[in-house]
Amino acid sequence: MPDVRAYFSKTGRLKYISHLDLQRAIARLLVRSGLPIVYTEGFNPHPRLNIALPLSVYQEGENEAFDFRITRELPPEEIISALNAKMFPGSSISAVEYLNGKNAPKSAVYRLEMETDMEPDGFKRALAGEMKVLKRSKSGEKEVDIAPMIKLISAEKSEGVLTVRAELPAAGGENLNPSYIPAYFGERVKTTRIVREKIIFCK
Amino acid sequence: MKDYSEYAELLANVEKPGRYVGGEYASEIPDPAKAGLRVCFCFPDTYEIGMSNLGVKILADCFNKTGFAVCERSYMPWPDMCEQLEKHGVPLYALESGDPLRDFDVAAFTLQYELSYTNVLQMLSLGGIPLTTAERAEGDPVVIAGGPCAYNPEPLADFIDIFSIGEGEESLVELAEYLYECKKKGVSRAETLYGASKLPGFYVPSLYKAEYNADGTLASFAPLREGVPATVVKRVITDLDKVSFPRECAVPFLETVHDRVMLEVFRGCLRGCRFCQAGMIYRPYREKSPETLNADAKAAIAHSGYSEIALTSLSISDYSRLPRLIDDLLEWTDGKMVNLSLPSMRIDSFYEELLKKVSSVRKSGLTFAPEAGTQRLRDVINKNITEEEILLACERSFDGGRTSLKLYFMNGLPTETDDDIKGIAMLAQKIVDLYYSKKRQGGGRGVNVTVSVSCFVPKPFTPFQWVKQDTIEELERKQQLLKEYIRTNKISYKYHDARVSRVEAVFARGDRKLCKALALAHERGMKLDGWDEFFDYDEWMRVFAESGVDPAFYANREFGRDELLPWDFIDIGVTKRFMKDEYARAMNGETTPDCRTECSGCGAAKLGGAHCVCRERSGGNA
Repeated sequence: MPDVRAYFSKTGRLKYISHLDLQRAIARLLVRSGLPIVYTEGFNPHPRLNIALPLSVYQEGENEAFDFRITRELPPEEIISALNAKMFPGSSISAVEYLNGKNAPKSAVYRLEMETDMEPDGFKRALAGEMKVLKRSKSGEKEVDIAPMIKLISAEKSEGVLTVRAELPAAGGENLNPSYIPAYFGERVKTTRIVREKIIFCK
Repeated sequence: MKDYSEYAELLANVEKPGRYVGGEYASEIPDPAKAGLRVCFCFPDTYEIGMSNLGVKILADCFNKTGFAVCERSYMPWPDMCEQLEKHGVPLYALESGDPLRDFDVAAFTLQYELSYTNVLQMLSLGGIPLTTAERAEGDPVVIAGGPCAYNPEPLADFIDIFSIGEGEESLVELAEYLYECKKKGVSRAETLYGASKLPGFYVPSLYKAEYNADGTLASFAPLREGVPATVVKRVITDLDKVSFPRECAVPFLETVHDRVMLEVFRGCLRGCRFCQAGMIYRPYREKSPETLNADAKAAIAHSGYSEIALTSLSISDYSRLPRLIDDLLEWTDGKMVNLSLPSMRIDSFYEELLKKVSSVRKSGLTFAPEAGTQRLRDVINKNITEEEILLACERSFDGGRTSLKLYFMNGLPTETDDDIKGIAMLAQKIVDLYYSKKRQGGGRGVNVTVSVSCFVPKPFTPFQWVKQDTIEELERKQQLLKEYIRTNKISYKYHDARVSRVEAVFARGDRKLCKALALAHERGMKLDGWDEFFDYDEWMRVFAESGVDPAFYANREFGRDELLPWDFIDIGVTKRFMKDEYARAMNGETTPDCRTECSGCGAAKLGGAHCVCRERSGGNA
């Protein structure tokens, strides 16, 4: 039975919706769509669904992805229109693809818009050194240098807003939430927006 | 549609910001900018509770179908959001347009429980609406309220312009039409309210005068102006198959209390438990047909993508065509992975078969409500269920593989003695023993019986409306006594805070003198009293003392049988005569049969047309 990956956006007011709430909303979307979706087995059957990478509340995503399974192959356009017909407001499915085997996220490209007196060069200098933050994980808090994890794509300033685009690791073993970047700079930076532009998957 | 960027700073600092942004699937409404009459449905509790309320969904849909009224939604913000709104000077807004409540023509509140009254005041003030009818000027919203607590509207008399008494599907549309006309013609606020008082099913408290005796009881209650009716008759829908039911409700992102399709199977109740307000105020008993229900359920599931349907009525197994309805539903729900839940089952013979069928998709918890621990007391309250029946039902559910169940009881019922308390423990123990009376599969962890005990609160329009509530000391003594009687860890014992029930009783049987206390409570910042973490009994006692209110006068006093009661001017169909007789029968330990077995002449049939069950049976006249 084929696995399908659908790409969608979670922007605007949808940034206030938590990951768990999103999961429920997408499960219901799948049911509403009338597509021949596959359910989990067991006492409490629900649609087989996997959201590629959780997105924190208050962060937006322009190309998010969820995977589900259907009982038979259908033309991608048919799947897109079935889902879009029942999509919650403010979002839409931009593309779907069939998956071959496991295809986990590796990293993601983020855009951070920060109100700050810092210039792009200042940001780059910080990145060249150590950026130690207290990072939370399941095993507790520890101090980590996040600078090596940040692959800078661009840094530009306009009208007091520093826009940084960077690729951050997003794999099971190593990952970095973009909110640690403004957190490192503390009071100097007021984050106005964090947008995940796309997720990069292992091929 | 608003993107809420202007509220970003507020929303960045609150828990669950999803509560305050709307935008759910199917939450679209007609364009508010083009509305002839703008209505905001205000639910005086959190989003998660409000979005679970079927009545609100039904009535909002009725407004939106008029073609001229557009109904939006607002919910009581959590304290963190209240603080943010105040800090940034942003008034409480409606989720759809983001406009402040003060910009609406109508602010409509539903009163589901007494402890939400402070939230009503809080929402008014956060929304920029003057608190009292007297303070509101031309151009301010008309504040209306309905729901079960509106059957005793008096504690809120100063704050609400118009109360809606009874079922609102027809009457609220009539009121909306009337208010729209007044708005177009520029009728003054005072004249608008005067006219509304003459519409059937509406009560305008500012047009009545209450006078009191020296002992605080009501001396007289009468209209202030000619043409204002002395009695307000509740509205009912006679044919439930023709009433509007919203098949395409908004599907929330947040997990709500009832996150499922709710199917209202009938209104009213056949049983007549003497403590139960719902069982009296929703009479006469009227059913929907299985055809209507099945079609509604199918459409609502296809629309929403929900995985559960709850049959929500007062005592679901009383539905005369339940086997047929269940069969019709199960024909398609299993295939769609949709679960059926029947939250309010009575225990009877049909139960076993039904249990098997209903658990075919998903297993849900099992609850019974014997309410009292002994047969004597169950007869007093007219809970017509025997110990034999309870044990039989438990045996069947154990045989069916269940290992846990929950039992609901009440403390402080009239005539209750310590033997009745002991009876609760003994009944629970018998159920535990029943489980161990034979070898059962998978019994590794054994059985768990949860005993959940609430405190009796006398409610208006019940045969026990005159009864005094036990004092807190007495309720707490009984709670501890039961704890001593329970001798096994197979029984989990939970009980309600007696202090909460006392404040509830004060407002349930309250009169206009309580308005002062509510205003003071609001001034002190009291809100969300229905939440344990915010309920402050000592503060309530101070508020009562400072506003000259004696809580015992309302909660712990046996009301005189011939006393004029604050809610007597409302006609719910069921007569005061009937309730007095029922109270007398209770004191004699006499039971009253259910309406299907025999009409007891409660009086409600006069409102139900040909649709009351007693008319269908015998043409009986109440």
